[in-house]
Amino acid sequence: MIPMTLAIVDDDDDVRRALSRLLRSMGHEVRVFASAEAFHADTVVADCVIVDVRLPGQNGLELREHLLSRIVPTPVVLITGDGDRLAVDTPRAVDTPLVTKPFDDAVLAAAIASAISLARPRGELHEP
Amino acid sequence: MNPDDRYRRAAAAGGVGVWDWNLATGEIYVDPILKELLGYQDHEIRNHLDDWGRLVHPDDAAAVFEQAQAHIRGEAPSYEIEHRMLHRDGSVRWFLARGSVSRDEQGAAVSMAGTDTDITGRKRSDAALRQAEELNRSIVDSTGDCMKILDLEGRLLYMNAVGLRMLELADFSGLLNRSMAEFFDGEARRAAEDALAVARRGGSGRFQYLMRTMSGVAKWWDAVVTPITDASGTVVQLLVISRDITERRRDEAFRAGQHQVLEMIAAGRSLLDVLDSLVHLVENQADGMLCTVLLLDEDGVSVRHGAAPSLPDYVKGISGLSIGPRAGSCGTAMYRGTRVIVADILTDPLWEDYREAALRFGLRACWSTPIFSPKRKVLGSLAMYYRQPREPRDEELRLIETAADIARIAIEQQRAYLELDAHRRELAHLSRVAMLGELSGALAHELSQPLTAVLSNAQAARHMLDRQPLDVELLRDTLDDIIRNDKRAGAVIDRLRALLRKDDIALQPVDLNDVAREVVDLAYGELASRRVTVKSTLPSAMPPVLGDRVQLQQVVLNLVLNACDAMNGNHATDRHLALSTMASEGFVELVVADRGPGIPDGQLERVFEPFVTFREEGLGLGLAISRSIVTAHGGSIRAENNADGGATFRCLLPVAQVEQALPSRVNA
Repeated sequence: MIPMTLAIVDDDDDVRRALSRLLRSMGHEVRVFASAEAFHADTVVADCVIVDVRLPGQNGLELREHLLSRIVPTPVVLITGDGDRLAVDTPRAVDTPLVTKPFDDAVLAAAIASAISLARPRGELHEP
Repeated sequence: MNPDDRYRRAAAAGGVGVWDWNLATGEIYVDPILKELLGYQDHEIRNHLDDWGRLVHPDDAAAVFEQAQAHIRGEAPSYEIEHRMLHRDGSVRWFLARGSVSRDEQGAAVSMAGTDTDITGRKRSDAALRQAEELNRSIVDSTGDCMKILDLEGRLLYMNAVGLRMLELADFSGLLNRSMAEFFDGEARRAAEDALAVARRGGSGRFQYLMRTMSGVAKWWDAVVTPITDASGTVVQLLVISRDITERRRDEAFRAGQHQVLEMIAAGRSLLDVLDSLVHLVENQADGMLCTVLLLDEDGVSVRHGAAPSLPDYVKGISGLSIGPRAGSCGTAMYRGTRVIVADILTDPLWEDYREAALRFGLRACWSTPIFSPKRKVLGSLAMYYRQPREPRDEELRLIETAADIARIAIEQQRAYLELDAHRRELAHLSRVAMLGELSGALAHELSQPLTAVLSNAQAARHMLDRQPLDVELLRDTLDDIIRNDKRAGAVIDRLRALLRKDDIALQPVDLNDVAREVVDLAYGELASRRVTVKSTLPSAMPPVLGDRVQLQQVVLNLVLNACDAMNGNHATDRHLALSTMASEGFVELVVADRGPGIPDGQLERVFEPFVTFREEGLGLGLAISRSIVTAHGGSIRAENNADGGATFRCLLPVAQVEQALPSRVNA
């Protein structure tokens, strides 16, 4: 798999640590953020952002909206602790991969690949 | 006036007349005054002993003659005798005759002369006095009250027969001249001395006292002390009339005791405490009487200890035994469902199998009555024992029935309480389960975090093991994280278990701020998904309340979730929940305010009723249960509408007192 720069936005400390450790062990570079605001304050561009739906302040759905409406859309994978229905209030909601915690690393990898191909249909990157 | 006239007038006034008796001839000069006193004129009675002597009352004649002869013979120094004379109209007059004899040179009696004085008046008043005394005595002896006569110092001079009988004395000689106050001490002595003092001053004093009879039986008396005056009005002696009020006192004590036992029942005191007090109440009604209460087990056959403070070992010995047709007085009474009177345990066939046990404790008589529930189910029995064989009197039977009635009330009350208790706990459990449903999403979310950490860490470690060289440090860190998160998951499950637990948790001091924070934590998921922002105002140093942490969490959670529900229809930016606590005069107030539509007019109280809901979902039990919990904690909860929209729920809970007597649990 091609090493990528991934961003994790989740307010739970343990989840951030574990997830970043996992993705690093898979060869990726990982940046972690405890909130959407912290993410915005950072300048590094990620190849894919893994966002928890529930965040303090701006929530995951809003962050996704923001990321996907950039001129160069950033791929987003949504992760969530509850299996609840997401407010289907925006276009593209159907397309965003949603992974339920706890998840297998293969499932996460597939979701990342799917998100990238969705966001960049011209397929600039190889499949991971 | 000549001396004769003077004498005559004086003599007439004094009712005195002279006489002079010639012993030889029998002639006797009798003063006309004396004849007048007997209603005769001077000439109507010849001055001879034959005539005058006939006027002496026949019953006294012999004595008069004898007295005169004695003096004449020289045996008596003078002649003096009170005797009756017959008046002309047949009535009797009393004369005091006095005289002395004259002798010649040889010493022979020649004549006797002297006076007669009319003492009829005095004799009459003497007689009247004796009659009055007789009358008094018969009154004093026939009255039902004890009468005593004391001297001014309070020493006993006389006690009537009734008094002697009541105190079981043969006579009062042993008490004679002993000061009455001597028999009392303390309060009673003061009261007695005060009463005597009042009577000495001419008034009427009163006091009550306890005095035991010779055989030691305690009796209560009500005494009234009045002065006895002489003709001039001076107080010379004191009269004490004492009435036996033992019966009355007993009745009063019984009524008061009965009232107390009923209050204990109403206050929810334990059944065994209540039955104990009841038994003491009954035993106080008679000397030497022992009382027990037995309870019949749910199986309808075995007997259990109810109350037997005077016969603990005896009752311990019969606990567990079965009722039956010949099972002593109590066992038989419970079996038959009727009162069983055994006058002598020694001979009664009902006691054949239980005789030995009873005799070992010296019990001879046993009267037992069954205690029934309102539906005529036998709950137990109440029995009276005596150490001598005897039949019960009517009032004793009445006492047994009254006491059995009170026992019935106590037992039924406990049953109702236990049932209510069981229902409440069931309801509390159900509410927890219901709330659990509401929380399941939040709990699932809570669990998913540490589980994610565990799985991701573990999979990371797998990847790390494929690398060369092995980063042992990193691996160790990874394992540490797995362990920590596993424990984190365990803690969430513990909270889940706590919510599911059915039995009651012990009371402890609880900080409502902590509870508020925990609830916000617990409901975070709900709050976040519904975009409700919580503004918490939880001042530090909040005094603790005494309560069940989990139940209090339930209440706060209910209020918070209700507030969320209320704001479902609000714009996402207008979903503000204010949660605050405040301490005020012995209470802690917890307030939850929302910005929803508020509560419809006039429903501010109704909202706490079960099954009342203004939402589409939910049973409408949450507030009813919350109020039940809060009330059981000694607090209150109420709702009000905010001036700027939305509703506010205020919950008041009493601050825990250090010396508070703890009930074993809070049942809501």
